[in-house]
Amino acid sequence: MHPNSPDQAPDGTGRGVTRRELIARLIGLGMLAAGAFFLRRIFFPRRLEGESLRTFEAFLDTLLPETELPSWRATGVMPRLLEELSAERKTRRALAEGVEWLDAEARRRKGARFFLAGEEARIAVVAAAEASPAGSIPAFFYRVTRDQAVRLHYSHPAVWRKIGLPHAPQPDGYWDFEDAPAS
Amino acid sequence: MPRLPDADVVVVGAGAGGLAAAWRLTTAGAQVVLLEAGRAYQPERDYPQTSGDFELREFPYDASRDSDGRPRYDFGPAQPLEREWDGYRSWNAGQGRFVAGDERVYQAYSHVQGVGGSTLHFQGEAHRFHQDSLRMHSLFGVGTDWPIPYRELETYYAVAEERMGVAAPVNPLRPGGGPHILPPHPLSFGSGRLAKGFAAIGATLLPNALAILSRSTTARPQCNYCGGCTQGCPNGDKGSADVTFLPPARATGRLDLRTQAQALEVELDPHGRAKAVIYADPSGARHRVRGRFVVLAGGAIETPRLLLACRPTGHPDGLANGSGQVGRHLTETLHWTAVGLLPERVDSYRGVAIDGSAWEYAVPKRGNGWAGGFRLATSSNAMGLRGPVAYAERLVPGFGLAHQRRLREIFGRAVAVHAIGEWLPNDRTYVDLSPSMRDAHGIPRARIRSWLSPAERALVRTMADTVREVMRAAGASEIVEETTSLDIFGATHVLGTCRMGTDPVSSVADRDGFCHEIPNLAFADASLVPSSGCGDSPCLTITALAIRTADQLLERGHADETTNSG
Repeated sequence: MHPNSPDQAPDGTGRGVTRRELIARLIGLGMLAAGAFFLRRIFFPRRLEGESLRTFEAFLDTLLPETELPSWRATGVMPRLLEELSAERKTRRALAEGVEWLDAEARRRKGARFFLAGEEARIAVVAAAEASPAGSIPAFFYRVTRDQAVRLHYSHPAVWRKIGLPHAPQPDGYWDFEDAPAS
Repeated sequence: MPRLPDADVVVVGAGAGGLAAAWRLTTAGAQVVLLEAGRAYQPERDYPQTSGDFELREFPYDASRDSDGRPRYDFGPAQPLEREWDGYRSWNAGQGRFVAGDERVYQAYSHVQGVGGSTLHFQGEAHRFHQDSLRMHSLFGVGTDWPIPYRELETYYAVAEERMGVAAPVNPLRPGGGPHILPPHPLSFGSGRLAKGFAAIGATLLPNALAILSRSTTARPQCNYCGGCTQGCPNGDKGSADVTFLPPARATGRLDLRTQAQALEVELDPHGRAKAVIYADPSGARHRVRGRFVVLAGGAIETPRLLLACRPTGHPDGLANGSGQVGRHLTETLHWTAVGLLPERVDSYRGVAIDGSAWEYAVPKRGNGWAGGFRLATSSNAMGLRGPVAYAERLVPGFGLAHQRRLREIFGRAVAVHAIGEWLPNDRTYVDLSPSMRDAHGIPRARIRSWLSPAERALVRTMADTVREVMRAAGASEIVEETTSLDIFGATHVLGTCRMGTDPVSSVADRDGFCHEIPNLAFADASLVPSSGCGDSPCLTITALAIRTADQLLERGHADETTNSG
């Protein structure tokens, strides 16, 4: 065997690590770390907190602003929405990735995170999510959060009374069903 | 010494047919054990419709899943959607196209398991079939003819109507009537605004024929027009089988109702007669109940599933399936629905779910590429337009202030018109057993295969064009939602999988509703119905046939007794 053979350690005690092997191991470790990172993002997306939570709150402000109707804060949308979105891996992931997308898009347009971007910019970003191609991260995020937030918000009596529904269907029913609505 | 039977009759399934048959049998003196896979519901507790989030609440049972959350059904291959049908796909303003891909989607098969079955969430429609619907093969060379004449069915229609409490108008296209018929429910204000749209196509919008009380009886109150029939009627004014047929059957003292009892097998004796039904209770423990007769009433999916899953000696392809007909000839009803906006607020959330119907197109005829017909109806509440959630989610796109403004602008203005049409049997639409899915007891699930033939697709097109014309002529020309069975399977009216006929080669049951191959096994459910009608809802027909089967059984039972005693 040649004295400088890669199988021979310099101290002669056994096999050493060559530079090529070291690079290969580092690449392997890097790939493992990247894989773990993406797997964690898929299976255990981080919970919203801090500035991410503020972005999501600003997103809900954009979807369901306080006007003549109560805002989402008054109808208790947030905890139920987060609970429902967290129940399935697919929507949990959409929530985390969607919030990241909102911040990235706001930075691209205004150089600030979504919740700091100003109302006009926030509306433009959400409109862009709505208009994104079907199946994309922003489109899926918008669809699942918008539909579920709307369902939770408009099922609150404080909201539907303002819109003109007088009461729940039972126990009184709608005996005036043959009449023109009272103006 | 042979063991005596536990009952004269074992009935499997406590839905529209099973409970009607059990009522007829017990009131005639028979001892009946009635097995029901689901549980019994208490209307006031289980579906009150009093809470603020009533729009988010479905019927308190997910009919597509077992109690353990596992899907109850498997589905066959999806049908490709052709480009030429793009203008007829399901969509709405809020969410866009329902089916993103180019294949028809199996959304769900939604039949409630429980005492009352599908009648717990049906809309109360109680229609007599048109007499020509029973002769589609003779008249048009399609489908099959019924083995009984219409006049025999008529007798039982009247019995069912009286028991269920049917309110209906005089309708020359579905003659009937009699002192048992209650006054019709008036049209709601919103549906009344659509009448001129129907007139424009030569149709008359009549109050619908409904098993919903238009005045109180000693046992049940009048409807209060909440519009929530599909979520279960907390008042008991809707004629679901649990409030119409069950109480008098129980009062006889001859009904033994066993809930959460999943039928697993029909046992035969050495002579090839049915002798018992094996069922499992919620703990999984198995029980055997013996009867002189067995009546299957699990519906057009579960009844063939039970038969196909039973493989006793001499029945390698399933019980009663020597002809290979069990599970075949599955028919649905086609549907097309449009939601449009009227110019002014009508508060269309008020009134019964499907309050008006027009029957001019519901007389069998030959059309452009199809044979059959369809019925038109006003169905704002049936389409779930019951409150702001439906509007916000489905009818108004976008978000924020613009979304709120638009919602407030259109709330109470949305009205729906739908067409329900005939589906003819075809070779690609049937029920068999899933090769991969089994229930908790190890029994294969039913696999539903649904495929629209060119005739069905042509009829949907005619239905769609007609509905769009009604909406336009009624002034509801701003369409915000269209839904159809063209691209989504979501059947509720399924029929024909153990159909009755005179020829054992092409049918499973004889003209009396008894199995050709097993003389003391009968059918009392939708599986028996050989054709789907011209857009008629099938509940009244299923119920009438079930009562007729019970009468035939009583006659046969009496004949057996006479023979044995002689």
